[in-house]
Amino acid sequence: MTTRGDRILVLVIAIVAVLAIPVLAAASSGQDSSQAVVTGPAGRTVLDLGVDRTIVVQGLCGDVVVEVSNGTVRVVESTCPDKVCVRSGALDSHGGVVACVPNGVTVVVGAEGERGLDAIVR
Amino acid sequence: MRSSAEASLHLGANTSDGARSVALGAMLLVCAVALGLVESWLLVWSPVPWLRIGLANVAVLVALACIGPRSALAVSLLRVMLVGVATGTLFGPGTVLAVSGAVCALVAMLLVRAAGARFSIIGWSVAGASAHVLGQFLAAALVTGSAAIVSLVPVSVLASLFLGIATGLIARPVISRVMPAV
Repeated sequence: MTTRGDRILVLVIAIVAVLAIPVLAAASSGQDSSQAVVTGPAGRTVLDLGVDRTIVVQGLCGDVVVEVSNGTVRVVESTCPDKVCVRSGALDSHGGVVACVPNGVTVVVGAEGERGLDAIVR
Repeated sequence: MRSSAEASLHLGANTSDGARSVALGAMLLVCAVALGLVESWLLVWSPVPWLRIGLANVAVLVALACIGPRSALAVSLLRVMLVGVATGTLFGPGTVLAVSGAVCALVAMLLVRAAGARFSIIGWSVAGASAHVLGQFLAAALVTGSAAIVSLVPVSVLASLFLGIATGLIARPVISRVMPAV
């Protein structure tokens, strides 16, 4: 059986998490949503979502291939073991984050204050 | 598995009980590794690639409830190390994330456990799951140097509530059967 404490704990965590959504979104807003910022160990590259392009970023354990096509950006190839970044799929101008942790590479599309919930769950 | 022996000695158990704890701890470690592997296969179909079910935490919960904190810590950390050795990613950024998540989860579960009967195993599990998400994302933000990752935390924590309840529900019948054997 669940105790009253269990239910209160679940409720408190849920409320804090829901309240944190707008706070975190506000903290990271102010970026241009037509651009993707690719950050790797070697530095940052800004990609315009309107211009189809493929770049190779040097990661911690190999290369990460980031592709912009039809207004979306995605990691098409990575040398990491789990490929979470590749499976994360594409980001469009609604914003979001794709991270390849083993390679230390992140792809961020800005204006995170504007995006909906379904844009985060990518 | 020395730590599980220490845990039972600490509790003043006799040698036979100590041996039982070591055996149970070792078994739970194997379960944790196996569950972690099964989960990594399930991960392929997950719509949210970075989200883990936390099945391995069932073994940690059982260790915590039936043996004690030291055993739970041993099961949790040795699992991370064994999976790291098996996949060849030991001491890489993935291990940093896993250790951070595992330690945060265990600390949270110990805090909830310290509150006694106010929380059931479901409460432990939920606290552990949420703390695991937090620990993992904070480590990910540090490793990648990108604070933007933190924006994924709220949704992941909400998902972890359901997953925490689920793993707690799995752990409960296991604990009620294993407990009399310890």
